[in-house]
Amino acid sequence: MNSKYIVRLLSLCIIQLVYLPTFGQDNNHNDLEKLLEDNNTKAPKEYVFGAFKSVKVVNGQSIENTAKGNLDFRIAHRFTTMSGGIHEFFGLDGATVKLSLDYGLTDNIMVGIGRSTLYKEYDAFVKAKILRQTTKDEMPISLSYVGGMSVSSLAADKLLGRPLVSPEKFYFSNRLFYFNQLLIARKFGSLLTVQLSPSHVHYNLVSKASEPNDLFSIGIGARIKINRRLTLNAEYFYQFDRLNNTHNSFSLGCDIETGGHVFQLHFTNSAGMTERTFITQTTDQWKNGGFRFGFNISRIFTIVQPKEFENSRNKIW
Amino acid sequence: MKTIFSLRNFTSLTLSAFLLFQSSCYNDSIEVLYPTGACDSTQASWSATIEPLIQTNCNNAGCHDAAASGAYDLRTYASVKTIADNGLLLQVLEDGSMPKNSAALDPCSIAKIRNWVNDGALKN
Repeated sequence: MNSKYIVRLLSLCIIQLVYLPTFGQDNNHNDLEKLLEDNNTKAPKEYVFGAFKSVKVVNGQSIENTAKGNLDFRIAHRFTTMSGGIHEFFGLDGATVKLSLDYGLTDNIMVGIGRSTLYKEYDAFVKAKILRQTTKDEMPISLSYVGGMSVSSLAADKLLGRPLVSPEKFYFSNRLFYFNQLLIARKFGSLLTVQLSPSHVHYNLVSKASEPNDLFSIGIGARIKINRRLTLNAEYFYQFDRLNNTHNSFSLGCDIETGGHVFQLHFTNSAGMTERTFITQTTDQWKNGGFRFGFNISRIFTIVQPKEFENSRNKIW
Repeated sequence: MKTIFSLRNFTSLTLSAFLLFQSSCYNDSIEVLYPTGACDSTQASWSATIEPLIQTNCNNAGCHDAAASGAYDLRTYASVKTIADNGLLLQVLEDGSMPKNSAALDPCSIAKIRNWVNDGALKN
């Protein structure tokens, strides 16, 4: 008796399920579609990620940020130019070095400090995400702002090009440089990312009165994915205003990812690694062997572990 | 997890940093701010630099010469050395009280004298 009742109930359910759509009049049908549509639009936006492997394209900032609570220790070298030939071991005899620490305050804001051999320069910057590209193109691009400053700690006579004579004072402000940059990036599928970086560099002190203190430029960077571990990167900065005897920076390289590390190996005509040096102080040209080998190595340490992993027994976190 | 980086802290930090940076922004050039041929006060010697300065500005007619009404006859090295060593020379030049009734010495000349005094006011 009981089982008979259950069978009846089940068959009724099945009939209901099968015929429900046809029973429904047009109005009902539309309502249902509307409901589905509403659900679609309310679904959380999915952001595009992994536009670049590292926070740098080569020299310049990429659209990527260090994740919240992560400390990125970066070691970068730029050797001297290839033009020295075998006598200089193709530039490997000499190098400028930059050590830096980047930290993700939030997932959208990161800060960094660094020290470069070239011009004995200290630098600091803030990078903030403003817009993020979504997978369904509600937002077609990612946009970030980077702003920073640097201090050259070279002796005054080296910055001046002559000894300082007694009543003259070399002001601390003479050593300061600033930069502002917008990063506009779009990832086209998984293969290609293109980034534009309109940039502004300010010099408190330039050599000649005819040289501008505010230098505007635009960078274009691209990344092509070869496989999961390897990408090819290229970067070019075109300067609208240029200091005397400087050239535009062009760099070509690849990113190799291993667990926790990203190795960036490249060739570039820029010796500097801070924004003001590689954009506005590139004195070598690619022709005549005026380019050099360089690398960035990045090692990420987790300082503040993500909430999801707080109770994890896995000590890696 | 509580972090020290609250949004409020961060905003105030960014704003103050921004204001600090803004206030230290200049548009200078070496050419204008540090012209070449500027004063070189490092090689000041008695015979080449200091004595001519004293002659033109101090012991010329009517001032610190023999007929001086003041107590200082600055026609000899010894007398200049005395006021150099006791600090009077630099004091009156820097506060502008000497040369009397004329413009103060230019900063470059004062710097030369200061260097010479600091080096021991030698008769070189």
